[in-house]
Amino acid sequence: VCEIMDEVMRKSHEAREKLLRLGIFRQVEVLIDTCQGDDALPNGLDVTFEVTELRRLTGSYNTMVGNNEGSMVLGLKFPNLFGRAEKVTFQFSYGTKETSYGLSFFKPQPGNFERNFSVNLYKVTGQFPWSSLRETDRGISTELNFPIWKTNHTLKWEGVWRELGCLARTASFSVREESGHSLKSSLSHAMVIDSRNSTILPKRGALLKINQELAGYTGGDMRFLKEDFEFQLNKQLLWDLVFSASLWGGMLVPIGDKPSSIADRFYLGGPTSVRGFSMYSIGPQNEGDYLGGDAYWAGGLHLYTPLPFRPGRGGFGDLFRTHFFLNAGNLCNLNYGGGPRAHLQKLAEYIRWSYGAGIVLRLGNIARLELNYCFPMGVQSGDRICDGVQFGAGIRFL
Amino acid sequence: MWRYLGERDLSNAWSAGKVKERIVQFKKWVMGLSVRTITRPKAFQKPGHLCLHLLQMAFLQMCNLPVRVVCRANAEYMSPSGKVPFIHVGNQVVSELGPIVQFVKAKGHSLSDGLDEVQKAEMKAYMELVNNMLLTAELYLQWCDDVTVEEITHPRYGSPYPWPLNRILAYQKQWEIRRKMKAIGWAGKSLEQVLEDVDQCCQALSQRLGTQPYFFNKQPTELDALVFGHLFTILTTQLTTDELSEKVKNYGNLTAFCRRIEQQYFEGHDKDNSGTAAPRSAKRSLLR
Repeated sequence: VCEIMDEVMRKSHEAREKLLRLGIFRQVEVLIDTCQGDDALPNGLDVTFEVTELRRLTGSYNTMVGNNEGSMVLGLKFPNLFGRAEKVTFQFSYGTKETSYGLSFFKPQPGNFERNFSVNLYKVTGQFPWSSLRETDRGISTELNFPIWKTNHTLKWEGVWRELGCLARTASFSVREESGHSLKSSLSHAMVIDSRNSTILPKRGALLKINQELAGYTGGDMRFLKEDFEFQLNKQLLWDLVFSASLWGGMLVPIGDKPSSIADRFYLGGPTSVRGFSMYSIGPQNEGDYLGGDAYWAGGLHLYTPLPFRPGRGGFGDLFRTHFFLNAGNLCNLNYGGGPRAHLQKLAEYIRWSYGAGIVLRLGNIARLELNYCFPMGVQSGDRICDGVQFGAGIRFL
Repeated sequence: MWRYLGERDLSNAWSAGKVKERIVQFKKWVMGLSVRTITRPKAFQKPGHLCLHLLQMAFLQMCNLPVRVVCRANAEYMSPSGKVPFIHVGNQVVSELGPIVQFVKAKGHSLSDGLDEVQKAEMKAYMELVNNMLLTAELYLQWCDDVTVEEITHPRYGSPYPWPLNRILAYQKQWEIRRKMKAIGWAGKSLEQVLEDVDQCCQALSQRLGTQPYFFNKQPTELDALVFGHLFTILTTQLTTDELSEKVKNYGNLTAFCRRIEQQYFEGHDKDNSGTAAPRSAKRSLLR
């Protein structure tokens, strides 16, 4: 009887989690009682789910932390538009760097929340002072998410009207040349395998993300193939020490005669990437404006320990960690006419690397703050460094 | 309107009391720095862009400065002020005729050194006239005349971009120009009125030119470059009607003036330097 009871409790707990995940109920309560009534089975159990639905239209006000920027987000949401957990959201976000608005429609497959489909319409403005570039994107995207065994896949089509401009009159000519309008229509596929126990400061598990994007064959005037991957491995050693290794890399191959656009290229450096260097300030540049590169790699080795002498143990102190790191990376262009071997060689010479130590603070399960003391090494002429104390906030760190 | 401007400027110059006599000397230097002028490719050019490009080319060649023309579809967005063409010299980018003239002057080249104060004021007055009348008339014809807009301007303006961007950008530009027209009071004008204004402007220019080779004696000045740019474009650009070019053709000395400048500054250079884009392409030439 105990086993059956356990089984029932476990399954009803799972069902409750599933119902909550739909995002349409404010509260779900489970009542388990013996069967009663005329058609009651002997030894039967009645499981009742009492749910309180959310209001038809809800508003929200949040603050958001992205990679080294913060923003204020106002939102309107219809959590359950047609009765099958379809969500329509309208968001307006005003941030330190970006202003944007967006409308999105999300529909999960009934009974199978992991499989879902969404359509987004958006306008996003961004300012990138490291390149003296201003970018305004107006676009529409449709996305299909589905799991296959232990992996999560996303198929997306995106059409974006991109407008680039100079942030200041003193912008370099290379950035000026990229100003103007362009239309990108791309198909992309992403695969994620995540076995970590937490997204921020995981103790064990691994993450592998592979993303590819093909632009140009469904319209538009940007044509390229872009690949990038992210790998992270965490292992807990003795005495609460966690060892973490990560590797990122990517490549952008323009198809046809047009060179790659500054808005598609990869950037390296900063408190969320190779620490010890200024934000996105590694690699090809012109008069102080960083132009990004067509190929890059970056790696990091970290050792996380609890704070020395463990203050606030069991409470606030658990959100902090000290960490020792070693980061390295390289970024280059591929338009010099060499083959794959030459590309690998180029990525292997003039490696930038840095080491240091610092304190990490976990913010919920979404973001983390870091305060590090860094020693940048392998600095090439043109790179901008931030040796000494560097502060970083974000959701995705090397 | 033009008479008022002219008189006001002239009276200012008199009251300033600076009437001098100078020896006109047209210096010929070769600068040493290469000047790149950047504009939209010919096939994509609106007549307005072409005329500005031409007048700038005329000016630079009158100063005898080596110029290389580069064509880009996004020239309008590359320019710091949003106007094409612009020049890229070393590290500097300068757009629009006024600043370019100042820039070239700062480097030691000027076409109007030989003019006295009165003449300079007069030149400024005529340049204002051309800018207010001819330029606005050209913009009106391209963007406010429905037939021209549909058949010529929209396809030309949107041609470097894929669908639907070509339509969106063309409409955006059209709204912008129409708003400007409304602000200066030209929105209510009919095509006939605009052509009348052009005629009046050409009459004034023709009277000033008379039988002289250039507007101010024997040496070309910025005004000559400006007038050449506008008139040559009007004479050689294909539009839905020929009315605008007919208005200019009525004044023989103006067409002769354009032909003369074309021969002198663009023909010769064409032979020496094939990299320089002369205003002559297979279709466009006054010399037939």
